[in-house]
Amino acid sequence: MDKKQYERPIIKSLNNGVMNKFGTRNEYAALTHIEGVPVKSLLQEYGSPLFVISERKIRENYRNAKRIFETRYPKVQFAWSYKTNYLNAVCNTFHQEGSWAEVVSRFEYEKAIKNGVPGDKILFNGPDKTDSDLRLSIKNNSPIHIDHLDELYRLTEIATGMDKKPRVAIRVNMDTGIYPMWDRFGFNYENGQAWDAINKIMASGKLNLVGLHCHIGTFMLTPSAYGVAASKLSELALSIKHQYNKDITYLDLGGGFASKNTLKGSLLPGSDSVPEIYEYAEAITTAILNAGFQPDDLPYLYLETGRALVDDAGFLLGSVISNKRLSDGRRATIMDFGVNIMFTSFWYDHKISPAQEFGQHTEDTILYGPLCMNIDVVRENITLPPLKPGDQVVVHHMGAYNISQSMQFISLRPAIVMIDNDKKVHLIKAAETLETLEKGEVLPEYLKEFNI
Amino acid sequence: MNIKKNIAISDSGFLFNPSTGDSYTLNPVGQEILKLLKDGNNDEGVIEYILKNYMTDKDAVEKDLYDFKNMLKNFKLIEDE
Amino acid sequence: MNTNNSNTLLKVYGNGLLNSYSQIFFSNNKTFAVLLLIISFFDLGAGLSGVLSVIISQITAKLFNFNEELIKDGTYTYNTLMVGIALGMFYDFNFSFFVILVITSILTLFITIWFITVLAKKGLPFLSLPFLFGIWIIILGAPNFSALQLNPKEILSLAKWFPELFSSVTNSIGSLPFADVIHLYFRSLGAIFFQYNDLAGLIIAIGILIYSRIAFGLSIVGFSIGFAFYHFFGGDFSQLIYSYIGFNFILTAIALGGFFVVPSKKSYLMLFFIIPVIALSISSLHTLFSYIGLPLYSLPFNIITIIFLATMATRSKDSGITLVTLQQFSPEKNHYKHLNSVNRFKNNTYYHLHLPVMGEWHISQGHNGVITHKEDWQYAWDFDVLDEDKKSYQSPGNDLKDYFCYDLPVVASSEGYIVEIFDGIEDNKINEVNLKKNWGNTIIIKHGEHFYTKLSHIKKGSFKVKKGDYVTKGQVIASCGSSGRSPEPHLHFQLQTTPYIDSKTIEFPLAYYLRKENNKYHFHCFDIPKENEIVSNVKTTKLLTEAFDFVPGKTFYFNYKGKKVKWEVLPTQ
Repeated sequence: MDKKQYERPIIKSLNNGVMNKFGTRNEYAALTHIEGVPVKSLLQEYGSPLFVISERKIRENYRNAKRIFETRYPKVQFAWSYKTNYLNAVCNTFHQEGSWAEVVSRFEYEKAIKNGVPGDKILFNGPDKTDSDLRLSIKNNSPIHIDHLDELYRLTEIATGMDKKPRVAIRVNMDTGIYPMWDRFGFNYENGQAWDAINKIMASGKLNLVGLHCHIGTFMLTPSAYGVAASKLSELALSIKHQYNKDITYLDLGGGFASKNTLKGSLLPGSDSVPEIYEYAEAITTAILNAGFQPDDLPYLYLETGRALVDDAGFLLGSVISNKRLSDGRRATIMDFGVNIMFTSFWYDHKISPAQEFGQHTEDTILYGPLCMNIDVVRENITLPPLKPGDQVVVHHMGAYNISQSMQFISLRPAIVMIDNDKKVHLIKAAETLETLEKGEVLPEYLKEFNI
Repeated sequence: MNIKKNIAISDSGFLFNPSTGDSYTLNPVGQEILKLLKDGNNDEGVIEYILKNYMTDKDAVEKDLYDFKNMLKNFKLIEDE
Repeated sequence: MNTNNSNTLLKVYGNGLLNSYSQIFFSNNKTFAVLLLIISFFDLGAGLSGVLSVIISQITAKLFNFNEELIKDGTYTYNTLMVGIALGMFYDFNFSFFVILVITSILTLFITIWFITVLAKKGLPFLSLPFLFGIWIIILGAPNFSALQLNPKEILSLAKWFPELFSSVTNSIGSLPFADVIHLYFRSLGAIFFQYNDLAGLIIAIGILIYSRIAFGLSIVGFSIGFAFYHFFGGDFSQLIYSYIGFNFILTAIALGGFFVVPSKKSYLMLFFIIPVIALSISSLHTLFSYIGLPLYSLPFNIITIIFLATMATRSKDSGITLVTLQQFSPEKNHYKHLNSVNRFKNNTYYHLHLPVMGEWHISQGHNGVITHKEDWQYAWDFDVLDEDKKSYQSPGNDLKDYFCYDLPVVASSEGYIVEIFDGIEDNKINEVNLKKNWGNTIIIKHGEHFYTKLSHIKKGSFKVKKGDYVTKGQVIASCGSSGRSPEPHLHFQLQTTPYIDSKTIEFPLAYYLRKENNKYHFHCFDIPKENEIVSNVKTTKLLTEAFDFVPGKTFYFNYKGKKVKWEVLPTQ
């Protein structure tokens, strides 16, 4: 007699009246293939857990965003925000599509140069730029986005000794009507700091003010805030034109567009509730077009979008380690990935799909990671079909920040692969080994021997 | 251990406890096991039946059965003897 | 420092000398010049006095501070050269000769310069008129000074020393068919240098072929037409043979077939009319000048060519015979340069119209499109926006908002005034059309007299301007919608000569745009986008447009592969 497919017995309570927040079936439809490549074979070949990036999706996202902005504003340029995802394969995919680079530290800057990005197409942001960093940027003609007065003064001094005039922008923070307002970065618009800094730059005659930059927040859910930011930057640019007859070449609206991840505490899943890219585009482009620029003087619009372009192109594949029944009866499942490689799980409830087919019964589960630390919780409450050790899952929307913010803590960082347009799999970062971890460690001689 | 006598079990896997008003669903395997328990089978009998009819191994069944019974206890559907 | 100076001196005067030879044949090819220099020395006296007369003229020009460029390119001295060679060919070397040579050289130089001032104003060349005047003055005037003894001499010293060289050429030609014609051709060629022999003509012919195939072809065509004319109309061949005056055919053919006129089929055809005119003028002038006692030389060529160029310049339209504006000293280059500028420099001919949208749009229906662009409305474009998979909407495509181009900004194609706005028509649901109000919401802009653009199917209530407003190129005026005869959102764009909503369309190109094919961009200027093309406006930055505005008087300095290159912008004639 043919044996039936076994599934662990489940009894689930149906509480009257309270709708299951995560009740939509789509949440946990099985995802057995990514870009046509079976999840099982990926995990088998490259180990578990495993980051998978879809090149096709990156290019699709970029081209989509480019089209949406370019059909609304005549001069648009994207600059890939390196800190969102450092992998050279990812960065170069963006560069191939036409994106510049945006960096916030020396090593990111050097990475961009090493990847082949021309110096004048690297936007250097951030509060931490050493004198050597500034000198290198000036030499390479990279636009420097000044964050604070000390940097302005240092830069002016350094510029005096060099034969090239540095191209600079100032970062402006302002009240865009949302909370919280990030006022720790850049110069404030409302209290006149920004205008003051501009005057200092123009007066010194040593710096070439080419742009104005702002980055109003992260995972912004109100596109209109961008409209306000764009208007205020435009006003500054027009004042500069009026006062100094200088044309500002570009307005850099930074990043911060939301991706489709679901914020913790949000009622609806991210895919249904976050603004579409065209909403940000409408807000920004209408603001600049209506600001009062002469038709020939329209500045370039730079965007440092990161998360919105790469989040849904990245997946994390993992396996179940074990199941537990907690003391209060809740089911817990322990996975081989946790906050060590899912830093963004601190603020998102990631969508997680089983990687194999299953029956229709599900259980409310809490997902833990492999670390023996109490904060290592991937999802506090998720409805999943019964999973047994060895079962595999796919975590969605993992492309942004998780890889660059992975910890080398308790678990070594896993391998990363990219599936190209022809569905071929490329290993773009090998799994870390003990050697990788210990590289750079020097053990003093006197500690080599011990007797236990 | 026995299922409380007043629990109503339907063929489609719905369980209703009239004394508390709670209802529950069971997946097919859970349904079968519950029926076996109700019919008076003990643990070994249940395990044997499952092994005979499903593709799985003894360890898994044992573990799951233990877990399942705990759940039933949790929901107060089983009366201790 | 000294060597530098002497180097430049050598450059200027050395070039000036060589160019004087090649300029006679409308060329600045150095190889050709050297060949001609050699030929001039077939008679030592002629060759020597030729060089001397050039040097004398150059020194004179320098002393009087005339234009150094014109010394360098041989313009000032090619006529003097011809005078020098002629004198050296026909008269013995003695003291009188040198006096005459110096006087004539200086005289011819000043006559050249005078002709430049008189004719160049009218844009006409002076050809070899200074030579004619110079030589005639000597021929007529010198004999009256009895102290001046110009002794005619034997021609062609070289032939005396190497007779085989010359006779072998003559003989081998004699064995060819049409030997008479060929002899005549070569000797006519040689006659331009006062060398009435086949060898000189052969070398000149080779030289012409080296510097330009077209010029060579023209020399043969011109000569053949002239010869045929004489032959078929029973002309007096003695005129042609006497001083090989047939070189007038050759010079005219080169001048009007490819030097002053852009070589083309029409310019060649034109020769069939002009060469016979030369033939007739040779005949008539021959008779006239034999009374006066002066040689004809190249007078027919000079008169007819200058008259022709003067009359051609008065036309307003081209009709296929185009005068060369920037001389390339090569019929081939004249031809290519002309073709090139016809394609490139249409910017003074048309109004500059640009795409009425931002970013990359797709032409869903072009001129003479099958769906609706027919008859009176055949010259129109429909635009929409496609994604990577060539779809114009995102699934499922039941809603207006699913369509990528819906609500996108529409801009003015060029500056102008808003003359009409029709608003108030609702956007259709997908796949529905409004046939009652065909055009939907529409805006009409006036860019110039009898020149309007019209944009239709606009989204209701999205107009950002009103009737009477002035708009600039690229200014946002409305949003793309789906009103009127529009089953899905798209933009209709057409040009017309009247301001009505149902005006007939006219065919007119867009000034500049990019066409994307296989991820590569192709640049189009004054062209008409075709159906299914993906087009976008050219992005400009103020820095570049101001830097490359090519205002006359501006000088550009470039660093090209380590070398310094200088461009000067000159005003067009």
